[in-house]
Amino acid sequence: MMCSINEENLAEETMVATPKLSVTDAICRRCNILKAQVLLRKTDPYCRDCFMKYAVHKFRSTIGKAHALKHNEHVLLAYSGGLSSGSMVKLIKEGLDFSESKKIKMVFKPTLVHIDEGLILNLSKHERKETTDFVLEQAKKNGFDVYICSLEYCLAPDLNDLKLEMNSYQIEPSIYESQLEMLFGSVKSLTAKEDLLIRLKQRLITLLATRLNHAKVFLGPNATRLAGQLLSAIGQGRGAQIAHEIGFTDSRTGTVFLRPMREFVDKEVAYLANFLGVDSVCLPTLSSKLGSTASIGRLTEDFVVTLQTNFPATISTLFRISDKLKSNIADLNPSDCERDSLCLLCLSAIEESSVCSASTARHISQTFSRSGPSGHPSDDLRTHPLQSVGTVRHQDSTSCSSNCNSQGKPCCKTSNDQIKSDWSAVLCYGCRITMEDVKQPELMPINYLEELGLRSRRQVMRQSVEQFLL
Amino acid sequence: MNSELEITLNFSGGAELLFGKIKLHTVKLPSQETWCMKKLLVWIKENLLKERPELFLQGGTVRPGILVLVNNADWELVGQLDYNLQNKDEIVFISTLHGG
Repeated sequence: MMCSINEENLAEETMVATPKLSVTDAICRRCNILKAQVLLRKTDPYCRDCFMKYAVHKFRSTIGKAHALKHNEHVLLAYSGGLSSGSMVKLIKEGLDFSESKKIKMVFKPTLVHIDEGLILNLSKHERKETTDFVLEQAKKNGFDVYICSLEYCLAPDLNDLKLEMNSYQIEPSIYESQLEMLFGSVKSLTAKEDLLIRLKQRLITLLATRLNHAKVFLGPNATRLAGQLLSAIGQGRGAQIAHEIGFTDSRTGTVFLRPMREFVDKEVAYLANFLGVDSVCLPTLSSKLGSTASIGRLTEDFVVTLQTNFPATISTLFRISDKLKSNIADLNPSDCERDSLCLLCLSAIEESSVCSASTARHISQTFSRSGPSGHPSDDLRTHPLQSVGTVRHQDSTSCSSNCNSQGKPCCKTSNDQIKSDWSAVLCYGCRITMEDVKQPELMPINYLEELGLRSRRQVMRQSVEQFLL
Repeated sequence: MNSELEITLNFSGGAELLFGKIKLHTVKLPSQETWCMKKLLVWIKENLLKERPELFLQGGTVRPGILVLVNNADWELVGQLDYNLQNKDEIVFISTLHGG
């Protein structure tokens, strides 16, 4: 038998696949002279200099091979203050200063941007000030300009009125503060909260980039983080968006997001930060100090990290898989009509549910189980199970939009249920799950609500016209 | 011979959250006995760790995702838990996990 696998011994055999080498007092495998200080993939010892050369080369080639940057282009660097983005900033700083004759200098003009998330993390004013002061100081040390913006502005329709000061920041009370607190307070699960935070942060960075006239933004997530996100994306029904969420470039929003740290696993980042002298600020997140089952993201991170310690190929395997995945919707410049088929929150294409799709099946079973033990599912569902997914909702909203004035105001505020069903028609599957946990969707940014009303009216119009078309 | 072993402990990348947000600790250990890393971790757990020990130690070693450097070199290169501490050693714990 050619491919017979002895299943009983499978676990044992794979366990010994990573041999325990005696690496104590090893010599660098690259220069063969110096004593190793770094051990990668459990088997490759490097000395400090060789590791740094390897890391710098990897960083530059990640940026270079994508051909994403033009000469002297302005780039925003999203800097959180943590190790990963801190190392990114430092590597760029060194790349710009690079004077070794053989290598070419990196040529682009970076500006830092930091988002102060202290509000939803329940940090005190003092703690927030400490973090932002740290960011300002780091920017000064590296000689970059920095803009700091508070997270609550993600709820603003645009940032034209925002007082954005270069290299200084004051925590100022704004009208969106309580709205943001209430919005996050109304979210039930941590998974949904984390997902909502990602989407809103992405929106804010896009707004900032537009305001500051930058077309490209560097984000700092490393390979370990992305591998965790890859699995949690699948777990949250975002499988179709993996190419965007994990890949080097993400241009869904119109602003291009690049992830130059994506080839570094967390261990390499930690070494880098240590050797480059990157100072980091302790950044609590929503799931800080919580157990591994707090959210899907937390769980998958734990899974990847634990697996990685014994099987150093885990992350690279996940990565090679994700690199082969492509979104089945081409990156077209969406016209007004096509924009209707983009998810409002994450701007990915909404998949058309076909007759036998998993989401249809889920919807049907959800409707049945929600109707309770004695309740009968509505006749409507029994006869047209498919139609009920999309169209029935829009018929509901007909009455609403006829009363609606045409100034583009959100008209669906009348009933909470109404809003919720409308939301689901403009969201992709993953965002729909998230929004189901948001108990007060009316607190979302006003543009979303406007767009929501607009789309549902357009849909109604299309339906009414359809009847006259042959 | 000195009766004390002076060790610098550095926690960063979010690991300091579990140690009262203090990054740098200089500790003195009695040097009559030899101190291996295993013993040091237990000592840290009993004397320095402020909260949630399971987020720092798991199964007698540091939790996956926390990198340990002994005098700027990976602890896997010096024998991990069996490494015997020397006077003036600098040990760095870097949490690479999201949010510490």
